[in-house]
Amino acid sequence: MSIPSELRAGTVLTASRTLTESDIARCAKLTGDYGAHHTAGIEGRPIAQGLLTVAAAPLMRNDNGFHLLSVSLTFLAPVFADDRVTAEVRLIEVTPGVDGRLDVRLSLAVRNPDGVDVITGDGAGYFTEPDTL
Amino acid sequence: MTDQPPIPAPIAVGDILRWACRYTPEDLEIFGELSGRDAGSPLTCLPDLLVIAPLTKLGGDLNYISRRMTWTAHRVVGVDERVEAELEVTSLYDSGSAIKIAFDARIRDESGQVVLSGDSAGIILRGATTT
Repeated sequence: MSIPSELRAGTVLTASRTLTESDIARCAKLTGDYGAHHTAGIEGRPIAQGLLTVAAAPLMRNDNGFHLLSVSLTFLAPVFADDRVTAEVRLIEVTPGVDGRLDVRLSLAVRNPDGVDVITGDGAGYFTEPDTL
Repeated sequence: MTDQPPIPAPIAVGDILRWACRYTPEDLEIFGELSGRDAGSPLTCLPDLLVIAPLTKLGGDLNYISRRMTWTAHRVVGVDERVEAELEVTSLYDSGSAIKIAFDARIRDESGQVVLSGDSAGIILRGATTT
């Protein structure tokens, strides 16, 4: 099986998103995570759920038939309402897997508007139909 | 004697917190809007982040702030499939300004099979109010 050129090791996928107070409230309703730091906030500033922040990252939201098999995340700093985060997913290893899958090892970094890492991590997963990409 | 509020919930090492739910196609639409994922790439199963979502609900009930989280998926979960989250308290330490806490985490399907497992460690801030 050939590996699409955009999915070679070393490829970096990026996405940016502003996480609003409305997003945080909708995420709380969707997940049930009404932690006080998300609702009342800290010093009146709601903090985005980690799930909402990670969901801004390519592949973490199951783009293009991607599935995560495992992940390890470190939460380094809060993301406040109306912060614009930039997520960077770097493909570390891409190899043909079973049943036409494409196995991937990746690293993740989400940064706040100051360029500071707020979440870092790594993981593994696979594309179910890489030939359709 | 301290004027600090107590641990926000009567929890102890070995306690297991549970929450069951299911996510509908409408929930997936909301997830798509919140994440900004490409709507032209339809989901055929529950997004991985929604599989772990009920664990975050249990953490939210404690005003838990995660510092580290790992998980491993054992199988794909379907839309509208009932799942039950379990958070098992594995360590608890009162550091004064915060409670350091760690969990083992599991998601089970209706048959009780573990479909996702992992662990997490973080803090509960003093003064946080329970929901």
